[in-house]
Amino acid sequence: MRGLTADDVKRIAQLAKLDLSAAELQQLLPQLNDILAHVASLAQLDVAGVEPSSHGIDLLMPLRPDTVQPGLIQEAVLALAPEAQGKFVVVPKVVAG
Amino acid sequence: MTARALHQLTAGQAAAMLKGWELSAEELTSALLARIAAVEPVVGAYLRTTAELALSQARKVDESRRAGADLPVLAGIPCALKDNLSTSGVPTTCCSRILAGYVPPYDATAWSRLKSAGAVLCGKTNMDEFAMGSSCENSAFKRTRNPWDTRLVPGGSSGGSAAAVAAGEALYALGSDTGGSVRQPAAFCGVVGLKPTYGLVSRYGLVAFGSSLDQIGPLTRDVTDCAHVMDAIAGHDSLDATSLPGQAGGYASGLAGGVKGLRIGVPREYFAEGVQPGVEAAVKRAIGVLVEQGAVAEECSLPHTGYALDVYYVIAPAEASANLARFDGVRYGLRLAAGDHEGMYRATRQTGFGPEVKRRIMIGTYVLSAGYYDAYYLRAQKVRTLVAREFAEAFARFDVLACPTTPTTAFPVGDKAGDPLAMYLSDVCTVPVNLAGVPALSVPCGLAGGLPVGLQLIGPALSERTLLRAAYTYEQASGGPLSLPEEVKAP
Repeated sequence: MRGLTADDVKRIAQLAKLDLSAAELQQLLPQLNDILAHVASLAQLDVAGVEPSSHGIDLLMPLRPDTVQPGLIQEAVLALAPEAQGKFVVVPKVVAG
Repeated sequence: MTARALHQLTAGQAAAMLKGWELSAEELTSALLARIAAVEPVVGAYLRTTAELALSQARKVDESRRAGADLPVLAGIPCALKDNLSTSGVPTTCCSRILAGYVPPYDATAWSRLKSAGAVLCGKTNMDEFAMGSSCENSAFKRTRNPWDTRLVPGGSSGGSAAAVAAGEALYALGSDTGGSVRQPAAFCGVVGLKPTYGLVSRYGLVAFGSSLDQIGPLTRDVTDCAHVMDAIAGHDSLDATSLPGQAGGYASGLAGGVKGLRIGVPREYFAEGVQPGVEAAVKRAIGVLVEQGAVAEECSLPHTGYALDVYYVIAPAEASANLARFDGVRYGLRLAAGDHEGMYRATRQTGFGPEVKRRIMIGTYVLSAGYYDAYYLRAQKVRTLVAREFAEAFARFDVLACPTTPTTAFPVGDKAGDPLAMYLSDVCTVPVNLAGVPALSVPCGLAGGLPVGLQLIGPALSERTLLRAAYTYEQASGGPLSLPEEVKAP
């Protein structure tokens, strides 16, 4: 598999919502390529017919009974927000206009 | 007993003294707080100590005991928690600037269970930011030193928890283990560390890193204490959808019984190039001790071992990039002002996350992105199946696998800090276990070059009782738990 380019790293940073500095982008390029070159060994294995596993062991994940339970207290949760008003978290404008 | 010696007790020894009224929980806690004051400037195990809380919890235990209550073993025993375990009313930051000042409104289940068992919290311990690292050097806030030699790292990511126990600053601690983060620092600091079966200890309230791999586990002075802590924290929790059903417990009561006939597999891939001769010798001696006690050891092979690290460094960053998407400046933690919401996310995350966390978010984002998902993430999930299958096949022949916890003893501060890949390679012996979801325990097995070595015992799912019994048998037959360093010298 081809290595990442500087443009790839910029695009990934955009997807990851990180405002990386030019210095960080420059430093990350070889580091990410080193790591990807190492994990490229996975391509050598024959995985035809092998099921992917989301966990190492089988989980039953049974559904819990659908009953009303106490949850977190609204005031306590809102108190954590950098900015809150009434029952709402305040954020910068999302929709233009 | 003098205040100087109280911090050297195991939790089990201290519990017996508390029960027999030789000591009050308040006296014990005061002694621990004095020890913390004495050695913490050099060790730096804690991000934050909670002395007042500890003393009030200790007094409460003393009152209950005076009132005639029959208290759990851990009642009144001072402990420490890794800073990624949510503690209601006590800041929990994962050693990240993005969570600076965050005070959770709820307790992690593991902590609420310890609390109801009468635990005394001395503080929250230092760690690699969001548990990403093997040396504690990725903490945004401070450095932790190895109590055995303060020029060395304590390991990571639960390095603060391991150093606190090794330096006598807590009688036990909890950490979390995604790829070795309990066992590796336990080995480096000469304490016992257990990564339980995936799902045995509730992850509710543990700040998520790699959700399919994360498990909370104890760090203790000896194997008996490890069993006591597991008795308190293991078991089903409806608040964690991946929590295993069924009854847990019986860990401390099952320690005796020996290892006669226990089938031990010794996987040769774990003794490959890169393992220090002193580490290999100590581990082989320890296996010899178990054989003298009646176990049967035989070499075996796990040929996919070499691929496990690569699987891990796809799956763990992928899950981390998804889990850490929640840190966006909206609901809690750091927020940097910007003209629009997108700018707020970017500025907040750029300022709040440290270099290793950003690196892993970048890798994870890439391997999950359109066009690369199948080649990296899906393939890694398939190879995980092969790794897990290989363990299952080994456990058809063996009750436990024995190998080193780490290829080397503790390394110097700064040694690998500039080379992410070299740091990742230090997890080579521990990572496969998390991928397979099985339990593994690290027990000190002597010294190499004056530094502790960890014997790693790996078992099939829910074999914690067997692992603890084998480790206990080794500990007893080898002259008891490793003596921890009394003097902690500045580097």
